Amino acid sequence: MTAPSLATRIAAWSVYTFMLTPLVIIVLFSFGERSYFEFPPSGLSFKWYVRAWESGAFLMPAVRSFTIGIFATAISAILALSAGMGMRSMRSFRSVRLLELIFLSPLIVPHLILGIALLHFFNPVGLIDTYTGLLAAHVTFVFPFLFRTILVSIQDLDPRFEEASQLLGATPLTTFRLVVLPALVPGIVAGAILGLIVSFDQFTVSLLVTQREQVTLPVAIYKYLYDTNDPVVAAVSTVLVIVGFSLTLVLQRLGRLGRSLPG
Amino acid sequence: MTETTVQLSSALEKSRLQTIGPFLLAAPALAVIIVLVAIPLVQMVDASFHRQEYGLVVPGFTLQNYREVLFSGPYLELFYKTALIALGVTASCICLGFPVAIHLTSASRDRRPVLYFLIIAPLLVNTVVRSYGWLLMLGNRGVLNQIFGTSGLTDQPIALTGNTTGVIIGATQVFLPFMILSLATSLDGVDRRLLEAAEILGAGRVRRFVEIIVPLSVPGIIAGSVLVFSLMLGAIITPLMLGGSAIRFLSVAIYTDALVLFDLPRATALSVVLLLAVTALYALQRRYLRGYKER
Repeated sequence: MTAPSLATRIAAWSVYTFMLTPLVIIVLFSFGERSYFEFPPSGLSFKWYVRAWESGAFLMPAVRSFTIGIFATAISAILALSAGMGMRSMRSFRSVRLLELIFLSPLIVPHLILGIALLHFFNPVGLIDTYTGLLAAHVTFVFPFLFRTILVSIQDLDPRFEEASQLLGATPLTTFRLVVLPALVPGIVAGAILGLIVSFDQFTVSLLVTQREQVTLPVAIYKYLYDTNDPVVAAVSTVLVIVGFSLTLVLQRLGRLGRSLPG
Repeated sequence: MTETTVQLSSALEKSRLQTIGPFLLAAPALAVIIVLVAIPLVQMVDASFHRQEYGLVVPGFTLQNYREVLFSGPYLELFYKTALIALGVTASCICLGFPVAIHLTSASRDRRPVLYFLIIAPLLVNTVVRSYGWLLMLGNRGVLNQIFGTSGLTDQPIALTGNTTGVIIGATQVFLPFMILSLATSLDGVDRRLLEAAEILGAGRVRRFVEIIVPLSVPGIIAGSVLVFSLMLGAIITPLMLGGSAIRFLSVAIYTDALVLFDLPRATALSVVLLLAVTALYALQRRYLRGYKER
């Protein structure tokens, strides 16, 4: 395309600024002295970070968000791997298409509705505000992402390698372990990164299926903001901004960004 | 038994295993989706056909919830306002997304990753955090109102949060990356020679934009709009944080019914309406894009 006009460039850079402004404001606010926003800031302080640490309101939710993400991704990966391998050797094209539709269907359901449905489903069996319930909920929306990336790498597998392995006398299990699985690793890793991000970013479902005991980090931030609105939230948020930006850098380095992000 | 029949029966057994085996492998995932997605959704739909008493769903089939939700003035107004807000967000995403998508796709290979970083990095920051940032920007004692106040532009803070304006600004920033990425995908496919030819033939920038770039990026505009519109319909954090209970927005109403008023039947009836709307949108988009490709 020909070089963009000056007007386009000004508009584009205004939008980039628009995208980043709220994040910059949070970072500035978190290092301020006062509990209200002042511009320019009158001093530099780390006291909100100290308070965030001392309050203890965020450490456990952060650990929980992290472990839930790991477990939900691992469970989804195993389920997706098994389902994908199964679908690969299915004869009927129709059942493959049907299964694919079913496995990707949670992507279309808005998270608010999934959350309401799970709230209603978990309530009578006492799974609300439990770690198990939270984990089960996260598997539902992490799974489709793992399934999609893993299925693509399974479809890319070259069957001749497996035939060769079988001809050489390897059992199906050995073939899977030594031939199939290594070829799937890039797809699994890409899916797992995506799954972790999706789980860590999830707010709505986590808010609906937890109450006080098992809140995740985003929910803890929201609740703290609701109860006591002070720069402690800005300090915690700054950490999340840094994590998000570093993750983007790492992903760009891995060169998978274009393929693994939705949209 | 002769050797051939033994071979035959073992081959038969093997082929039976080959038909059943794949389904056994897919079974655990299928079970998870059925138990944790399908059954809860069915139960949710079921709850919408019941009444509630003191926060509990009571037996007895009724269409009362749907009658209330679909045929009463306040709810029609709720749907109308929700659609209007979501349309507002979609429209502002298209307006802000186009210059960025053009800028992105015409950037050199070295600069592209930097620009993509600026678009995607905010996407990896939690929506709660981003909405909080807007609260700091737009609040009554926020950055903008302080600037307005000290510069003497206004003597009273302008209400930029707790209303539709705040929601649209915040949600635009939240969903803009999706629009930019789908516009950029479309623009990348535009043949540069068309633009060069148009330029040689004397078409100005505006004319090239209106007559070449826009028509050729229609699939991207549609895909991005459906994505942003439906994501906005299901969004809860940004409307809740920047709009609060003052605004009329479907997802906020569902949330309030379910968690504040404990009226689960009405919340689920509203959810069913929302789910149908979103599914219909995706179905329409699929049909449209298929037709577009065939042309």
